[in-house]
Amino acid sequence: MVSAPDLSFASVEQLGAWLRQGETTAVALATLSLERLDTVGRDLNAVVTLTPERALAEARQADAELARGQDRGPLHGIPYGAKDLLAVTGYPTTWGAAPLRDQRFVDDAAVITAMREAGAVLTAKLAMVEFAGGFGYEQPNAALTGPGLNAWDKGRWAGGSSSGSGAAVAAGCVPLAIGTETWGSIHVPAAFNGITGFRPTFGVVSRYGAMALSWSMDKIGPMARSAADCQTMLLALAGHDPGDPATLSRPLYTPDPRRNGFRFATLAGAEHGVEADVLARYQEALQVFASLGSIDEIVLPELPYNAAASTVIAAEAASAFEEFLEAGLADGLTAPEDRVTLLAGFSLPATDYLRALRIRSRASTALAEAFRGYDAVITPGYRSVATDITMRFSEEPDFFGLRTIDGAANLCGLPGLMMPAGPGAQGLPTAVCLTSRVDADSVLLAAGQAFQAATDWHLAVPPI
Amino acid sequence: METTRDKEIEVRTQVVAARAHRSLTSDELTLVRAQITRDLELRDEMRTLPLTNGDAPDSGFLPGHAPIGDTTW
Repeated sequence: MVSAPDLSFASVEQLGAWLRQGETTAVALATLSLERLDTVGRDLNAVVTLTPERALAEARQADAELARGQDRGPLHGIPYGAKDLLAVTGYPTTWGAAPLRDQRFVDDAAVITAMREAGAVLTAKLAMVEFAGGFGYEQPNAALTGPGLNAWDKGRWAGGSSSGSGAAVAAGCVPLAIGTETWGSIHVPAAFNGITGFRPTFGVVSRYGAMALSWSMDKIGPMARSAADCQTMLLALAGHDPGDPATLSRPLYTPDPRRNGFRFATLAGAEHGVEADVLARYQEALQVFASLGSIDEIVLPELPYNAAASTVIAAEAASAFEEFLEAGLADGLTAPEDRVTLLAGFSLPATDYLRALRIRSRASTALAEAFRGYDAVITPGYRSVATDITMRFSEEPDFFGLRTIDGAANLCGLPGLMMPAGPGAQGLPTAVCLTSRVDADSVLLAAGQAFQAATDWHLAVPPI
Repeated sequence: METTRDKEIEVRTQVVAARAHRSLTSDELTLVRAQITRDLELRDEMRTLPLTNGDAPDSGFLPGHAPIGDTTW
């Protein structure tokens, strides 16, 4: 039988091979995941609720099916965690917020159903920033479970808002986790924890059963230890769902087999404000990308992406939580600023919201034109390694990289892939980000797999 | 001298205070004012992009999503 440390940091493909060779069982994987989540995961404030009853039932079923030759595919018997804004029957779904610690739903979220049908085993509801950060939090300590601690250094932040998903994958508690992103909530925890996080094109993955923060910007995506594992998970999650009218009616997601010959672009000015250690790794990563295809430099069209994205989120979040706010339930939130800041949305003029939507029309056209002919745009993942756990966000210096490309991409629903790019200051992970045009999800994941075939940064394990 | 912006911040703060479920403390009103001020800065930033009358909002509504059947139309 394979040893526990090997199982904790193996790829989905490797775990699947061991399952089918009889080297381990789904019950053994689920048990190991539950034990590690209960110790290492809780120590990182990454866990809201363990789901042992469901996990062991799903695992026993997975083992029984494999024993009789029924194979549901690459996720069969693989443990995973879900950000706690996804409804799971039989367990609380807190949305990271203390006032909702007992909230329950009668249906599973569509992505939970999809994972179950793929044979995956849910072991935990994972921690998150309260209400996915939409209430105006200014500090890491803004969650029911306490500040999300980084898997590489507990004095650092795990990033938000999918904090637990990022830390749990990095710490070997689960090989896969479901995260969500309205603006940065998959990418930042992936970058800070040294894992791979994928934000699909808006509408590729159903949000039925997920907390709504911003109907026109919320996305659900995979967080894993490699682009290959993200693709495996996306194959299970992608598809039209009548339960989420925003899901796209597209042909089934098909992986792109390319591993070279890509056309990459960098963004002029993207290195502005990036710290030296991160920049050095970024430049090394560019050399790897250059071996996989061509690289041109392009200019991001100058449009007020961030202002429009912020306005859309403020207006839609204030509407989504209007009754919650009016009832005074925000008084029970962890971060003091979260208790009142979103109230300001009650005074936001409709003309400002509509202006943001009008800008999005322009921005979508401008980005499609700027990215035309390129498979992916490469940028530094974040300006620094994971920030200090006590740092207030108002202390964050201005920089071009993630804020700008992620603001534009999230506003317009573009896909993005965050990958580890090697150690930076204090040995903490740095990251590189790929962004592409609408519907180029498979191209991004192909480029990511090519990059990770040429590097081993995604295989690094934190010193836990 | 009070500017148009100052007036808008104050009026919007009063709107928020009126809709809040309880009286807000001075610290909380400061947080609300700060967010309203940021929202106005975002408006300024958005207005750096000239829009024309024909620039329609990116609305999520598609008639195809409307329910068919026992609707009133």
